[in-house]
Amino acid sequence: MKSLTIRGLTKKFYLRESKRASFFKSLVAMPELLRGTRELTAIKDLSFDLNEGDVLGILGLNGSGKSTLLRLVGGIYRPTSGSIRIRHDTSLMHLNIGFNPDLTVAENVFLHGALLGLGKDRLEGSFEDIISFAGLEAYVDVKLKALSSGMMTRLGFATTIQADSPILLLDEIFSVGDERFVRKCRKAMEELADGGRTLLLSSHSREIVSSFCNKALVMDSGSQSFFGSADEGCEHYVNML
Amino acid sequence: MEDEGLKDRTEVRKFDFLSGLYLNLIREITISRFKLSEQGSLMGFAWTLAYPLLSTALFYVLFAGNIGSGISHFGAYAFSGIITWNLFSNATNRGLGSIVFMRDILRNANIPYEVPPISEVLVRFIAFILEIFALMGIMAATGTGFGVEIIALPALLVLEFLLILGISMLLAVLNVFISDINHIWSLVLTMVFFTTPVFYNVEKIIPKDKMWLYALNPLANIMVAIRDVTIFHRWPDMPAMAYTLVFCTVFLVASFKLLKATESMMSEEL
Repeated sequence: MKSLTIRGLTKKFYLRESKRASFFKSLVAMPELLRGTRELTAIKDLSFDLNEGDVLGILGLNGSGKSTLLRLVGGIYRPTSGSIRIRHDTSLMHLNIGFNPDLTVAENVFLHGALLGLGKDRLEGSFEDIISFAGLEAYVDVKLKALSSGMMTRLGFATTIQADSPILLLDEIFSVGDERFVRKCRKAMEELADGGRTLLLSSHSREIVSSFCNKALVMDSGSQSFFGSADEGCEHYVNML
Repeated sequence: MEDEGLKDRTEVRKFDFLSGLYLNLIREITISRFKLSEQGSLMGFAWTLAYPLLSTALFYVLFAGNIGSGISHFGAYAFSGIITWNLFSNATNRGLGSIVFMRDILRNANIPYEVPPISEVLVRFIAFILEIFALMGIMAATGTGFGVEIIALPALLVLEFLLILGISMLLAVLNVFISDINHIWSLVLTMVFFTTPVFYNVEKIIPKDKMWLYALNPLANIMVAIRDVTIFHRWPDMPAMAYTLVFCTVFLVASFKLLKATESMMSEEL
């Protein structure tokens, strides 16, 4: 069954000389500030469908529009034109979003979980699973700033996979993390996909996409350069480089 | 149809207004911000309380014999004015920076933009509730006593919450687009401070024929009413309260609508 359809999706940003003008400049240059001075098309005419259980790898160079696409699907940006149709709300995971170094591991789990739309009871019920998946049993009451970046990533991933959303959006989550953790994530993602979840995973790495995903979208300067099987997508990406 | 049941992205949201998840989100952000604030510990709260206590002592020495003369229980009067003013000033300043402060979260999680200002105002309100208990301690210690009118106090606190939230939402939105709105708000706050009876006797300072102009300041009305029901054991002036309620409600609804209308613009600006 389809879980996501995207048709003719385009996103334009209207850039200004500088962000956050002063009060007086805002008054004098109001029309220009509202309209912007330069148009940037970040996403151009994207169209594809995903089914339940699909794991899509989004490949592309820096600035190709991968994160913008995830933010559009995540409902953070509105499309300039075209449509995104989904069944239930999504959860977007960026590295350690909402984590605060001065709060403890446990406090961060509850804050991060709330941002993902998880209720307190739900989080309390899966708290031990989260800590155990992240391998942080000995650090529950330790402030986050004492943890390594790899440990934080593990905690973020462990909390995110608890999200009930049928569509998970994972933005460059494997840029930090050791071999063992990557293997653990792969197993968890396979279980999520087997359970009918749809995963969208942005990455620079074709190794990650070929090993984690069944479909690939290759983006080039905001345009859809390829959409199809993960293996063919990786090949296309290599030829594009 | 295979894609039956799919809806447009804008129609699907996790945090429906006032749903369980929405309230849980506000609760978790408020708790974490409170823990990170100075008021999050007993010593932190003691330091927060030190400022109004010191100001009260200073105002007592400087003003009790002149612009504060004729006011019974001047100590409790000044303390109540200072904590009400501090709440307004601190909470609106926290609210002003709230959306920009949480930009990393808002760029990566689809949460409603009113949540940051609501949480920041709530953080400051928690400390204010504790300050209200300190005021009651001062009232008990100075022989002011307690009247039945004190039951109206929670309603007045709600009124001040509505006023602060409305202003905070407006400022938080403006702060996303205008870089020096904090300086402008500081100037406005200075003007509001002197047109609010924090430490002086209104009847003595404001000419009778100008009193209607003074009554347009909703914060002054709330401050006067808080003193009425706590220190002076009388019911608040009802026409003034009715005007203040209408003002606070209209302002809050207008600010909320502006915030919702500019959410998409803000997401690209952050």
